Amino acid sequence: MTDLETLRSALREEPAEEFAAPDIAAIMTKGKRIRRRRRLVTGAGGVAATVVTVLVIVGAVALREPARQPEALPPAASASSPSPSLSPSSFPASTATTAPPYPRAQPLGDVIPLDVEGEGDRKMVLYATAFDEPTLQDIQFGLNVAYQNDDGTFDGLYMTNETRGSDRSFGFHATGGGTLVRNTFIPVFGYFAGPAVRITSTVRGKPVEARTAVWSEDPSVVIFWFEGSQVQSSNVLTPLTAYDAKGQRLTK
Amino acid sequence: MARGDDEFVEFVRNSSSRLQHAAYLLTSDRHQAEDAAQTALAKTYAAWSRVRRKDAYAYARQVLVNHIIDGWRRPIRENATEQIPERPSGTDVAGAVVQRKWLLDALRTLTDRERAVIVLRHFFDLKESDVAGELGVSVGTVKSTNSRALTKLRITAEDGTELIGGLGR
Repeated sequence: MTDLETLRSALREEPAEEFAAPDIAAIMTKGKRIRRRRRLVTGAGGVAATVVTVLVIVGAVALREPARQPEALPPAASASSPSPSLSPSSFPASTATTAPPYPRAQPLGDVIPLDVEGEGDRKMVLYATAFDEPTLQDIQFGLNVAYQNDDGTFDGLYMTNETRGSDRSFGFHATGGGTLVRNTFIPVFGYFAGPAVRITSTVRGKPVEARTAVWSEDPSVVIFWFEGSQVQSSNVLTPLTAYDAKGQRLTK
Repeated sequence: MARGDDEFVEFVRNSSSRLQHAAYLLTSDRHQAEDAAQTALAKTYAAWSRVRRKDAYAYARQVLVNHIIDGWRRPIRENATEQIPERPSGTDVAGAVVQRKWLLDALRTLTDRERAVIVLRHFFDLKESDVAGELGVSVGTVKSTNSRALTKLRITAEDGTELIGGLGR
């Protein structure tokens, strides 16, 4: 037997202790959640996306300013309603205050332009949204890449979030992108929890530096993204490195 | 149950063991491996209507590897050592348990990419072009990475006298 055959044989040797049987019910429940989230983010068609946008914006206004009337909504929200039955007046502020229907799609903090234009010359943007998953109590937000429509609404393309531990624990989180969605390239992006001012990596030995923006909702979070011309896939990156304002390395 | 759920349940029964095994080789951690396989299967279920008529196993495998690689990119990482553990003498007596421990220790000496290439190429038996596709690198990179990893493991691809783990050097 050659060395290689021996290696392959060793690799395939069953572990001494059997793995736990997969929890099929839990797998399917989690899979359904992922599917729902993907549908919400990528949009199940223009009508559904617009309906969601209307619901979210109404909810957002109601949450922030419960005393205001629906006519105070941004023009985009009421103008883009696809169905008369879903006009803003259908959703009184009190209802939205207690249970906003789609809180995940509501931008949290500033919307960051990525200086990329795509479908219909729309600008690609990056923003955070609330994340509400009962089994992940310490994860309260995720990041979205979307097109910003002329009317101020968003056409979601890609969402990512931390899946383990806390979303604010020191270090890198939710790195994603570097892929095609609807024939659109999504830049590699993510965020760093900590005082990072510079985030770097290398691609085939060549240093690359991410663009960064401090999250307006929490200055301890630094959102970053790489330009598509420099980083085509997260697979080609070496581990990310963060530096503070003094140039000191924050990560190993 | 929705349409296709029965098929998915059957798919999980048939594939979970191999996915868990691969995850274990990639992580050296039983619980992490079980979690990673569970996540890969959940993501596969999320895309089941799209992948069930294609190669669902390939999809699950790719999700699994990417999920683990994403974990590697986080700053908390294992400290890989340059020194490969010596293979204990008397392996004929030590048996499979020792061999397994050696294998996991040896895999820890590889970089993340080397380890992924070894598992995809020699556990899953993928062609170099398929490994390249799954990792998003060139075929040349897969070849050189594979070669470097095998060298680190002190394995010769041809018939040779050198054994896995070396000769007790």
